[in-house]
Amino acid sequence: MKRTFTILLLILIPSLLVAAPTAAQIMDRVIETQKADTAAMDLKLTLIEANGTERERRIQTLSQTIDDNTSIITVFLSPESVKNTRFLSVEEKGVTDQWIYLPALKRVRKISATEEGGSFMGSDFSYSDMASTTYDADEATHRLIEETATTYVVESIPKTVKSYGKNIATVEKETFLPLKVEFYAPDRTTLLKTLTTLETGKVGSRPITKVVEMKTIATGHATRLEMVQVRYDVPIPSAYFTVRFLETGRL
Amino acid sequence: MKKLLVLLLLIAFVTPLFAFDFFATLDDEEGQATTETVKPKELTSLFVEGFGTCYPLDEDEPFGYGISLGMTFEENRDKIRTEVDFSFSPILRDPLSVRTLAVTFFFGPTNLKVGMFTHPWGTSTTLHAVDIINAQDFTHGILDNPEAMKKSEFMIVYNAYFKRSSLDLIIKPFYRPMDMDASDRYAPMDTDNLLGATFDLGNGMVLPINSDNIRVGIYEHPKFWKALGGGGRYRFSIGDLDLGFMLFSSFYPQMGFDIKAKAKLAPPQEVEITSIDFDFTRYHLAGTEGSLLVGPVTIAWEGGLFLSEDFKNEDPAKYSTKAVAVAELSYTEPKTSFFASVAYQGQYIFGDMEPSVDQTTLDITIPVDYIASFLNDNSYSSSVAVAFEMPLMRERLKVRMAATYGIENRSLVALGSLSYEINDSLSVYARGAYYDGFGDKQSLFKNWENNSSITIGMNAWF
Repeated sequence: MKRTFTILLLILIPSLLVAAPTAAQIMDRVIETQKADTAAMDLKLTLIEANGTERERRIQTLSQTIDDNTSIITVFLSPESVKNTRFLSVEEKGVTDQWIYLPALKRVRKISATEEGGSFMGSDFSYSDMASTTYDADEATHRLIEETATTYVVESIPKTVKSYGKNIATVEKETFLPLKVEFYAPDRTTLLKTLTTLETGKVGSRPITKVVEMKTIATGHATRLEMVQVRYDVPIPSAYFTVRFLETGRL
Repeated sequence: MKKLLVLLLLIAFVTPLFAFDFFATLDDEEGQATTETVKPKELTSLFVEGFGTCYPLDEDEPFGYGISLGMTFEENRDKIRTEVDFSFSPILRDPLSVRTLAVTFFFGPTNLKVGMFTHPWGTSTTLHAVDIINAQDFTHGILDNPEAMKKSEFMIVYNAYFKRSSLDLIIKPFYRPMDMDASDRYAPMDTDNLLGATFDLGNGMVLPINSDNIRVGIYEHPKFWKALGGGGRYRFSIGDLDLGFMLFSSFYPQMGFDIKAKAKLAPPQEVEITSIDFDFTRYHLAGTEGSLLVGPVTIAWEGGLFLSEDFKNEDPAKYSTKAVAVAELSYTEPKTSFFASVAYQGQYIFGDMEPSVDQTTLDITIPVDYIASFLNDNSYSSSVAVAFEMPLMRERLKVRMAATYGIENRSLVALGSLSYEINDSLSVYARGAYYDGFGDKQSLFKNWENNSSITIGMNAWF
């Protein structure tokens, strides 16, 4: 019996290995590709009006994940109106606490974690878009709607509708990077925004999206997000993710 | 001008000047992706502000203008941070305004900051009860950011941070009083006529006040060591609740008045003020601050008991003991970043508020709290403040409104502003201020009725 079972496994495993991944597996790989224990990013956001006028925002963001709990500190470097604003998000046992330090008030304020739906620095990205533009297998129902030689196209319908009712992501087969994501309204038919990857690259062996552009369909306004510098899995002292750093800007 | 030169020289020697840059702390370049040659951004900025103001109710001086040049520098080294922030407004009487000139030394989870700067206490955003470390500048009226009205002063502040709590200890060696115009546009009251034109003796007799022969004392505020103030605050968090307690000892930022006056019942019947001397009152504060986040709503509160050195109420020139409390509800709309708050502030003075007349000597005793309350004798006074801020057009346009209404003295200040970012380094703004006092009670805002204004200005950063 044991031998029969082993033979069956030997026959099945190669076929399992070559089987096309399911939509849920693809989206999990997308998330997995972008996952890191720690990440440090120097980002440039260029806000582009429909008439082509541009404004620039510069931030650095550090994140650290320990036991599936992610902490993020974001420091706003420019323009003058937001310079030295610091934003801290700490997840503990699935509960996220958020604080903001406003230099004009010289005070740290604890804020509601539900602010993820708001526009991030006046850009076309929402706070939740900044965390992730796709859903993992648990967050949404995924369906593979198209496959080409180089890409998968996956439709994701979130189990809990917040900002979007549906996403359609075009994922590169080789790297599992999202090349394009379409965001639909809760009615699932109105296209709200499109995210287009303009440039990809590698950090070590890890593929990354270096320049992406998010466009709001109704207004024609777009935001280009450029990773000026990025490092993954570098040691980041935990002291960055504290109210002390938020208040003083120092470790 | 000399001060400006010293500052510029000082700044010239504090290079290089870098902002926060995590990447500058990393040594190896391996595995790093960059899209441009990155240099640490200097945290150095220059700005120019120019504005014109119209005071439609002021027939004597209906227009004003101003220009100011500002510089901010910050240098971060391994254990030391140097900050300089000042502005130069050539048309002002005191053209150089130093907001920050400080050095901070970092030792692990503690730091020591020494120099000229401001240090905030309190958890609310509009009205405060315990944000008393630094005096305010009222010579430009009321601004919609209370922090911008504060005067920096020389302090030594030690901060220690623990896992969910923190401690700050403050030493203020000098006394820096609040700034108030004595006779210009923003003078709080007619200082040549502090008690008004007439005085009510309380027995039905109202006599004219004669201050022709008044002797005015020499203004001399508490000097070094005598002026020494200090205290500390301990803050901690339990879930969504932040709580703090503080003790502080200092002088009230406003001066007291020792007024000698006498009623003359023989003709010409009058109240003669013979002298005014200046006095200052030390207080000891025991206070608390807190905030609780409930969904998108923040409930904040502050409260303090200011125990006067004259707690027996024996000296009318000293301010009495008082209790002040503030409660505030604020709300942030998650989708739009719209912010709104409503706050209530109450104050109770434990002391005599009414002037009294010695029926034998006819000497008049005038408590300084009575003068500071604009000749109102309510021990209890309260005010309500509302404020909101709404960013529009992807934060290009910002609308701000704030208003404070004094319930007992029926006074109002309403402030509104629109600011528009033309680009990242140029913005224009329009601001309005409306001061009014309803009814016959005196108040700061009633005295400033003619200062209601509309200002149009521009800020440019380099």
